[in-house]
Amino acid sequence: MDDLYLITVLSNIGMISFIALSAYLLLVVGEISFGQQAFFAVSAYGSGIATAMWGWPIWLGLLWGALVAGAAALVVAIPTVRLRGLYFSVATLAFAEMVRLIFEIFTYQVEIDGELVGPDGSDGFRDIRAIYDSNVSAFEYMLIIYGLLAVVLIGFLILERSRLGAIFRMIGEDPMLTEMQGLNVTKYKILAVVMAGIVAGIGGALYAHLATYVEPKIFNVMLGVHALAYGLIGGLGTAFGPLIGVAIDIGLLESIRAISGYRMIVFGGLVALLLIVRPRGLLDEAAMHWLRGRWRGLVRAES
Amino acid sequence: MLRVEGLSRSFGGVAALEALDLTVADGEVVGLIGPNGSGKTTLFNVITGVHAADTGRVLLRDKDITKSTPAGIVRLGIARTFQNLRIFQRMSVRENVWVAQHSLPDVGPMALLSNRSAAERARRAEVDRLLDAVGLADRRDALAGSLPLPDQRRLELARALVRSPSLLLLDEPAGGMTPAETAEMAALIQDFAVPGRTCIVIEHKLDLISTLCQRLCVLNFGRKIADGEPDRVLEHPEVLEAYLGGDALDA
Repeated sequence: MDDLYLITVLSNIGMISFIALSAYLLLVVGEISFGQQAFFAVSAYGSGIATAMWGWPIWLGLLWGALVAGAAALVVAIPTVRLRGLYFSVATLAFAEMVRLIFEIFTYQVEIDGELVGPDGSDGFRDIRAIYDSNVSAFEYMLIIYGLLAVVLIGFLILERSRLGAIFRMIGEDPMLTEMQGLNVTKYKILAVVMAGIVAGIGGALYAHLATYVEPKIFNVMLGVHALAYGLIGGLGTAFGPLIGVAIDIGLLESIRAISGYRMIVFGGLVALLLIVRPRGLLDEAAMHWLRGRWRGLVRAES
Repeated sequence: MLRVEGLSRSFGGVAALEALDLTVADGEVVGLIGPNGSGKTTLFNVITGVHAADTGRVLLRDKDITKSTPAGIVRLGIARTFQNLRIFQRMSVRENVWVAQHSLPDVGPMALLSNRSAAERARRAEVDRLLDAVGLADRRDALAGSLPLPDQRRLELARALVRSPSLLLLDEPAGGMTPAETAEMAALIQDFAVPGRTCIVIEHKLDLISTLCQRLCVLNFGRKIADGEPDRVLEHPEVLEAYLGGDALDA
């Protein structure tokens, strides 16, 4: 196992963590989205267009991608957020497939240095080379990925302790009872969908620039299904849950070559097993409550 | 304080409330009794906006709230508890009371994100004070879903009181409790929940009702069949018939 391989695996874990956190946030508010890959895709294309075609600097391209994904999420949220359960899931799936099919026919190219650059329908979008043009090494790019992941994760941890995070959990447990605490559930659900869209968008923009090439079929429903499964495996009690799910799937199952052929079998089996034994994942709310209690006990004993 | 005028609501052709009139004066504690299915909880659900009224109006201090959302009605100062307990099982006891503060008018965007301000510390102290008052001080870090039933009812009471509601609706606050627990609950409501506010209590346990209420209102099949002082209402022939059945009177 050489260094570059390790860096690639770690970079993949980092990028997929964003979409896992995105799906996790919606699981916290009690909704199962099969469409978070759409925001990943919208941002991959959007940021690629900004850097490769409009010549924007990479950081602005990433920001732009995340914002476009957030705007797309707002458009999805307004009509769908009143839907519950299966209806919301189907609506998000339909939206994501619509986005993927639009990219199958979406062609927008400009000539740069005698070559056509830009999305070309089902042939995809080549030469998103901003990080190579500015001589960012694979290792440095990995650090950028983890730097942004750290920022997002800290945001999630602050959210967990805040009233806003509690509102999301309340909606996930009992929307009517949440409403009866004087809270506008629809408003907060729209906020959650937009935040989840932005988080998925950061991952998509990072992905497009590392891969340098994106095509519509990458963003099929399996990406969204995996994103959901990560939270369900790792646990819905904390933002570390979906990250554990990603680490198990990509870090172990996909990257250890001896078992990589059986990845989907083992992964599917793991999801099925956990849904029976621990329906809200390894680090569920009860586990986190116990851990936090132990932590408080330790801190008290120290002082 | 509260005026209900000609309120009707039916479910699939069955009338749960039929042209109900009820006026509750400021500071009054009214007991709402009646056989199962007589419309008591439906009345609470219509007042709090969970169910829409088919006809009629609900007025809170002369303001029509019939069409308001449940969230809007809570913010106007009505709080309630639930007959079939509704708490956030996956949250701690303390969090379950804390969550009722999220929508207080002085909780701004900053307070939604950070718990470090002095105002937030004061709000947390208020939560602990209430938990103390209802006797849950030593259970405040427990998961709410793990509490025994009487404690869950106390928790609901604390949560309902956080926003200092002017009208409190209690739906069987002693449901499923032993006589000793019921007496404790009656004392807690009497000493802590009732002073300074208007209250409607649904309850089957007449000892609790007679401790708390100066007035009783009896529903049967969605209609009001008696309304007045407890002693007189309980001797009313229609009330006896509704509770004991027609045969009991003949015997």
